[in-house]
Amino acid sequence: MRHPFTPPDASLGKDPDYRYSLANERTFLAWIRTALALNGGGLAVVSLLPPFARIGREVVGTLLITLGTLVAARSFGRWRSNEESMRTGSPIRPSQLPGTLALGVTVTTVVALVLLLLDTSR
Amino acid sequence: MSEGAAPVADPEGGPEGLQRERTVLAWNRTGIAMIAVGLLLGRFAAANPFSVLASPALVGVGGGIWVLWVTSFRPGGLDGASNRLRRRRTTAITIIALVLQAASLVLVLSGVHPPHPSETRPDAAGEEAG
Repeated sequence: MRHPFTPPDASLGKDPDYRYSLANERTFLAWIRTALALNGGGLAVVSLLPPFARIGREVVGTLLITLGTLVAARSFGRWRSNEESMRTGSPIRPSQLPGTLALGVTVTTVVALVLLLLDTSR
Repeated sequence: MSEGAAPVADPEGGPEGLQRERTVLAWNRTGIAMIAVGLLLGRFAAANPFSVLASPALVGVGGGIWVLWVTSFRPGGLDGASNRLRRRRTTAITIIALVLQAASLVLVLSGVHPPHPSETRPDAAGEEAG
């Protein structure tokens, strides 16, 4: 089994067109920035918002940072998979990252909404 | 209808044209994002001794990425060595991002947070008492 951070196999197929390879790298970096933004958002919620619903800040912050961790971890696999597909000339597999992100943000938003409603009703 | 402009010669002269420049800019933005998260982490510094070390380290890593990528940019084609370097950079940035996420999670779950400005304002307590 491969190490999770093993780079794409350079002996596989042939070098892809640089333009596509660099575009793949930029997409990966955009996902990493998304992960950093989620992390920053989580830290900001905990350190800048006034306390609400007893542990509301911690719950929302933890959800955001966990989502950021998932995005960062999966973006590397996605980059590697795309790179290997381009090397072998096989079709690029559909990405699950946008779905993961959308689901994560929805869950976080619903949780934040419930916590806010609980806080205001007290 | 006006005639289209004459095609512009590839300013870099390499086969990848301006793609590489855009990629370097993407690396710069990632470095800047890392500096921003590092500064945010610095807010925890007074409340949590861990972030006293983590925050400057992160700002340093972000600044390092920024400087390295700007100075390593060379117009021209990509060879085998630079491709290897690109693969290592990608692995490195993922590991740094994951370490950062783990550190943030520990900080948030530790329950030792910086006080909200309203909690530290001297007149806030007086207002409540009055």
